[in-house]
Amino acid sequence: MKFDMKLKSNVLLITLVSFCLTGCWDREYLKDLHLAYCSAIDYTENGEIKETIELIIPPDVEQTATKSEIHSSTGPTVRNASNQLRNRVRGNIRFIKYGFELMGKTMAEQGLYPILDVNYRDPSNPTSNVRLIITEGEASQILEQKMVGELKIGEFLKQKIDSLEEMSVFPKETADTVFRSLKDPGHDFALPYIDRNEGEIIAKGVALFHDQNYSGMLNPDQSIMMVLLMGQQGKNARFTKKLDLGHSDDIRNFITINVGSKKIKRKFKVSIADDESIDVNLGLELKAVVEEFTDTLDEKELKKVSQELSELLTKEAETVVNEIQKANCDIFGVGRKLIAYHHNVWSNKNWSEDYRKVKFHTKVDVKIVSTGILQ
Amino acid sequence: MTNQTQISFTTVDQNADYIEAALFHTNDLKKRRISFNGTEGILFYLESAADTELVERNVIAPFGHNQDTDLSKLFTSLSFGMETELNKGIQGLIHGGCLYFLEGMSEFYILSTPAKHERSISEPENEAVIRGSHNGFIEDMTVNLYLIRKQIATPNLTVRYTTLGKIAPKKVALVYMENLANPELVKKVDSRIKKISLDAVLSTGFIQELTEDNSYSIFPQHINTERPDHTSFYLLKGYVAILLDGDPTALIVPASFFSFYQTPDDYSNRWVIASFVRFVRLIGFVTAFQLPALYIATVSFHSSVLPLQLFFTIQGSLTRIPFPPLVEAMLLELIFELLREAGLRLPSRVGQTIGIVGGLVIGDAIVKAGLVSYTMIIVVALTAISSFLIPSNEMSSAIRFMRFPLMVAASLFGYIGISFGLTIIFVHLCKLESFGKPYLTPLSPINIQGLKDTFLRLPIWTIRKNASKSGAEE
Repeated sequence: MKFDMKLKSNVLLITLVSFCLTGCWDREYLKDLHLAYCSAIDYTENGEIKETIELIIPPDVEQTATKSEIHSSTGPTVRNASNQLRNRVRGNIRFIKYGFELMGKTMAEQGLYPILDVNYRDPSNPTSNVRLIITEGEASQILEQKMVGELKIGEFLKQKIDSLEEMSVFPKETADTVFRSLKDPGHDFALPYIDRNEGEIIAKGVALFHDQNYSGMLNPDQSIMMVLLMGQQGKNARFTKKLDLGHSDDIRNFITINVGSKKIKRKFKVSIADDESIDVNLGLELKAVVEEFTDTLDEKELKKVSQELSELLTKEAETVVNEIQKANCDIFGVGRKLIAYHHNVWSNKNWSEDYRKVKFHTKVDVKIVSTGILQ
Repeated sequence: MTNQTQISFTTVDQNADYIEAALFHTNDLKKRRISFNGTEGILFYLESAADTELVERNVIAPFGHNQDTDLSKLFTSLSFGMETELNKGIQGLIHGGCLYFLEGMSEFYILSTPAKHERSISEPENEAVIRGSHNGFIEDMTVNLYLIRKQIATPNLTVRYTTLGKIAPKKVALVYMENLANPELVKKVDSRIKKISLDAVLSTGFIQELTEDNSYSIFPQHINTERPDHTSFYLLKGYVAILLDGDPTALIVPASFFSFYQTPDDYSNRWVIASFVRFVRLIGFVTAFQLPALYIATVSFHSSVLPLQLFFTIQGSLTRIPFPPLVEAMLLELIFELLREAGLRLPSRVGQTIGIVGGLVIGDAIVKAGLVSYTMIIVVALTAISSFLIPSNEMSSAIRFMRFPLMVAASLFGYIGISFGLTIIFVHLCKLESFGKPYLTPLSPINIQGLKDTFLRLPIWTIRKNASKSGAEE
């Protein structure tokens, strides 16, 4: 009974004391938050960091659209530039978890990590769903455009990236996955690469990275192939190829297939020869749906077309792998395999140089499984 | 005085004096001198307890034309008895009887002529069903027992009377099925009722509070109902019902948490529909006490869980609110509780005005005045509706009350506060027992058979086996 009383008074004490914790350290009222949808980071001419953000202002009246403001500031580091920004806008800025971080190409060439460090170090910064984008010119210029048609720039970029990921043009990379690749010597990454042209924002393909530096790029068609070779797949993955059918009107020679709607079989095998040379077998089995083809397609033709497509796509895959190797970007994680299964070989290699010596054997098999609802 | 035994006197006047003194010359005590065959006699009755018309017709009138027969034959149309102890006679008077004393006779007659002013059997307003029987208990225990017997016509239905209250005694009936109810349970209920020592038992609420396992808990541990069919349903499952004379509510024990989420309607609906309705009620249970807390935690700590569009909408409605979310919520909850209580006490015609004033005027004006946000109104309104989804009024109040501590916890510690609050509540629920039966059965301890009639209402043939045993076995 005595113990009981003591327990009760303790519980009461804890309850009462918890009421005094008015300053609740984690509390962040929704109404006090100022959300930044997008941020863009560039180097200024004198080597400072320039940060530009798109700030979303909630509507005063219900049922009306949000407004946006663009602000920018400079500082020696990203956090410092953000602080400078906070001085200019109405107060604390929070980044949206579905937000974007745009980085100029010149910045990417010098290395991403110094820019991203603040994202990973401070847990109040979201990373799990934040997309990183590389821009051809200065990143801030894209944000300063403010609107694309009716859409605010942030919304526009989100929709663009989402739909292009769905079309298998961009690999699904977030700040989190990039961090993993940044810290992994056996794995590199590729990021969406966009440019601005007369008010339009165009996807130029993907930017390839070696370690943390920009090292090359692929065009959108090639990047679809790269995404497929990586073993990723959006809802769609379309290729338009010219077949050797000999029609005089050119349009009849072309075929558009979609390989993203069916399951893709991927083979990825790293083998080591006795002289420690590395062979990578990279095979894809694609099940294609014909989406556009103006010529006839009967049983016999089908086989021929499939055959021809396989050859064309294998050739394309080879060029893509070549480009990637040239950029020294270990996007498939060959190094990771070595670390895991052939550690001795890995220790003997200087991966920055030896990756280029890896022999890739790529093979793409296309099988047409559907010709759409037309024969 | 009533505890003494006093043998009746041989003279009428002595008896009359004693009776009058014993009742302190109360003014509603009627005394009529009626002689029988020349012998002087005196008749007593309480006009407030006895049916005066019945006395007039069946007691007084026969004296006029049957003077020569035996006295006992006069009263054949009434139940009567001979008694020598005056105090028993006084008890009879209080319960609506007549006393007749005859000069020179050592015994006197007690005639049963109680007045019956009862309301007719009607459907209880707070437990209306769409389908099923539409009768309800009334304030007379005999009628209530009759209603139960009508549902369960078997000799196994057993009634045990006890009298409670030292100053104003009242009859309490323990009703159970002899072959189904666990004898241990019956003994436990009986002993707890007999231990009640009160001057007066005004309602079943007193019995409820004095027989509970845990009086400090906010959860009800007795099922209470005014429906005979609901009561019979539980009796047939081996439960014990407690009825109090003068109260239309039956207490049924042992209660479990989920029994408060079941209605007789569940068994008259098709089972798929009934299961769906139960599921909806369960959702109502969750929203009723967690929604405001979740909302507060979300806007104070975890705004990043909101979808982007919703984020801006909520932020837009919150920007002009001067209070922190907890104050905002408390304000609105308080207004809601005020309206509810006001609506409850007012006659139904005025009650509608409360609805308009409360719902439309205050609801709209309070947002326009910038005191609370629209989203908070949605949250509180949803919570209110969900809390009324619970068929049991007592459970509904418990759930409504519980959301306040959760709201405070949410505003202090966010989702973590809510999970701690819920943990404490569930630990309490797991520990709680109602007359020896764990409160969370069949969830804890788990009983797969019992679950068929808990979250869902599976077809009757699949749950029947379980239904007839659950109360009997412990």
